[in-house]
Amino acid sequence: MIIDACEDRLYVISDLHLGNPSSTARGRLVEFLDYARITRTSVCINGDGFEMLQTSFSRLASDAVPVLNALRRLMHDGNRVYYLVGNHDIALEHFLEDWLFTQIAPFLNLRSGESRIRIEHGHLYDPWFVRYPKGYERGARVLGLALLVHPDVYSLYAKVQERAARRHRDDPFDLGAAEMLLERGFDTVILGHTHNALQVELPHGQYVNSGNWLRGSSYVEIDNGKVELKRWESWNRR
Amino acid sequence: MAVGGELIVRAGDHGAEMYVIQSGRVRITKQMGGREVVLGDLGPGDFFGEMSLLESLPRDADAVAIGETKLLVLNAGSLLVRLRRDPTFALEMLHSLSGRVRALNAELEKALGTNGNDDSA
Repeated sequence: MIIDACEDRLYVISDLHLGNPSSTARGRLVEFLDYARITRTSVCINGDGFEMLQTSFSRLASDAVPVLNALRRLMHDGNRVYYLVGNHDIALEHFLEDWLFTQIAPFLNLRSGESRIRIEHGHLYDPWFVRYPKGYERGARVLGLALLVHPDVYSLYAKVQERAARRHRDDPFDLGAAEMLLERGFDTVILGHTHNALQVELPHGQYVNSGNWLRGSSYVEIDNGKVELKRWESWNRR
Repeated sequence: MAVGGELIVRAGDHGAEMYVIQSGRVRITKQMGGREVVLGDLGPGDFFGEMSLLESLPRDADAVAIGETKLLVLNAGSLLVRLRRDPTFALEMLHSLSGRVRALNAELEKALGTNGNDDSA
């Protein structure tokens, strides 16, 4: 199991949910991965790259194939791809190694420049996932059925989630988890899972959430230890 | 917080804590055959002192701060809470301990291999 890595330059993206009916990521993602290839930057998919709970196999295949091809082009040119497992793709863990020909990791302790950076999906700190894992999975499957009826259900779900996050803003689990990991000597902690792109300073260091590509297109750029949250805009708009 | 040169852990002492390095560096040394052998230099994220904590046995080696060093101190109770809240910490400890066993096996193999050659000669 690989948990340590060293990279000067790395892009971190998460929560692509390829195959999910409400995902609009495929085209933008292929473009982004080609951009990484041209700029000679390795890529870390920080969990929930492929959807397993809320999709059909045919939908997953049609979304996944162009992205897998783009990832292979990226690796063929000497860049590395790291895949960290999230809660929506645990079942795919065995296949991903064969599809991507790359190492799957539970999390990554990255050395970049003088910085130590922890990259992890973050579902292990989500109190709902920890307390009610079966209920959490059932809920995700029910939401998946609703998404098949109409993909815009995700917008409604996102609003409910945002409202819940506002209610718990005094004690958000991801900030607590990030602070706990920072206590262990990391300079920056990067999580995903919440879908909310974020970059904040905490008492022991920096916390960044890589957001999502379901509807968003946020990514984290790591350049010799410097960490910055960015938004991908298509080639035409760059 | 430890200052440069400060002895954090002394071999033979009883200790009920382990340490995670938050910043700075720590040198681990051990007296062997009348001389001091450096077992390793540790940096941020590395841990030491876990053997005494886990086995309730005296410290096996010295740990000295190299420059100003900030440490997270865990005793049995706080380690248990940490493992509950921070499950990947257990995996990282196992990963590190597995690496140490592998390194010791390699050392043992090297030592036995050398002795074997000496015997046959």
